[in-house]
Amino acid sequence: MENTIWHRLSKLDHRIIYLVYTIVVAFPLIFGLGLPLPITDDVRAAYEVIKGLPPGSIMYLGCDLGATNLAECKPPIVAICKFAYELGHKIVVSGFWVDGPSLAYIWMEPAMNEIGAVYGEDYVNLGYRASMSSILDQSRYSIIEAFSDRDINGNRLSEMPIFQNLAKASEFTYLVTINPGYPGTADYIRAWRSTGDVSLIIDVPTAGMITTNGTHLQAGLTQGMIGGLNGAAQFEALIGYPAKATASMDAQGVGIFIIIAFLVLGNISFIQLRKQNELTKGGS
Amino acid sequence: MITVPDSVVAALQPLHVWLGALATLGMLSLLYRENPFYRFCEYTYVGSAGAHTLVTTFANTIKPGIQTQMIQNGQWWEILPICLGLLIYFQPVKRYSWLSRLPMGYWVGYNAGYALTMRTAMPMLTEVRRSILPPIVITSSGFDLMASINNIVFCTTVVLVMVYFIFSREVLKGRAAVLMNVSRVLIMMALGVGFGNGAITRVSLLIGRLDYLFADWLGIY
Repeated sequence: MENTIWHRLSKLDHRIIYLVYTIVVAFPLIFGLGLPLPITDDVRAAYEVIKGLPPGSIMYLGCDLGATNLAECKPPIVAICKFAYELGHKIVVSGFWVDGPSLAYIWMEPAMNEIGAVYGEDYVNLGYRASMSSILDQSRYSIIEAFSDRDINGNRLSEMPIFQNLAKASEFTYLVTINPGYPGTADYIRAWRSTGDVSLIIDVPTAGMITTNGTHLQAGLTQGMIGGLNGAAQFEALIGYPAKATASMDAQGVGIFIIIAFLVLGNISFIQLRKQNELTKGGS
Repeated sequence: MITVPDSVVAALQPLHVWLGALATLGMLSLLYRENPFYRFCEYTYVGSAGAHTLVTTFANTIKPGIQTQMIQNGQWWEILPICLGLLIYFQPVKRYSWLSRLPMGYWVGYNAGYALTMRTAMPMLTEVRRSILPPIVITSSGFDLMASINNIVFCTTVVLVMVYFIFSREVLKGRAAVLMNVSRVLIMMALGVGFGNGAITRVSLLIGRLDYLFADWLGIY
């Protein structure tokens, strides 16, 4: 009885599972599988909103994220910034997670330099600020005062061309919030949507927040959602710029499939063992 | 923020990638077993994250506030909220610990006031209003079956979940108790979707690290 396949499966060393999982996920990452990627309505809506805005529109990009969100947050930041710049939009980056704006700075710089965007004129990074609610509230009256007239590198905001036509939050045409939790979308809605300052919000949550943030989209508080790596890959496909998210989607698909396979196997093993135990008890 | 010359950044890039790769492997080594290399990487991460938070908060929030607002703009009275904030450090001193309650009280009061305005009510009311949807959707191209099914599922779920939380098993007996079971299944399905999405985020974390190891460190692709 002890030597059945189900018994051996139930006692399988978890390190073997980790190893198998890593190898299986690594394979499509290196070689690629070209799995199909359907475009969802949420991502298409986000794309249509951004695409429909006139040149000269100003985007506030809220980067409220940490280093662990690299895989899910870097691809949409790069893709959205490139797309917005190509449409002639200006970009203002900030964030209320301590790592967020610094990471956005590191991720954006090569991409923005590559397409010829000029810092201070086409985009600016305001850096991290403590106390989200008070900063966002003060930005409704004066962004320069709320951010103490300094960007992430200590340069004066008032001397930058981008701020010649931008004084307060209501002058942002739209807001893109990239976040894996709190503070995040709900806080921006409270600060600027509820007050009528910014009415167009594109939500870019990590996969874990899609369910929670979906309620905002359903209620019309946000106008589009680019959720997780999958959403980022869809957005890359829509703008014709396949990059990291697209390349990672095969690995994610296979990774999820393997988790489901392990779940099914584990449950079958559990049921079979229970049956065997009942038979043994009945026999004795 | 301290600006490092580009030439120095470029020269240190290989070291940076190697350190990142070794730290990644160190963290992942926990999956094999607890070991000193993992501990070293973990403590280094926690320490550097704390230091980064402290330095960034000072450089991006405190320093510009003092430099621009107080010194350049002459708004010297902004020293008052700073003094109020510093009172929090009296907390460990028993005799004067009551002083630490002043900034804490102000902060809690500010946030309570902020939350009690229409800022919080508006999203909630909007969500309530948008929960009432037509069961039959007619668009310009005619009857929209999928949208109608979506609306029916959505509205039914909202009502049944409300029933689950408002009524107890003692109130809903007999056939009505079926409603409770259906509601529970719907809640479990929603939680399952949330859990599944959470699992996808974890997969993405692994993909991010593997991508770093294979592409940035080993240069395989």
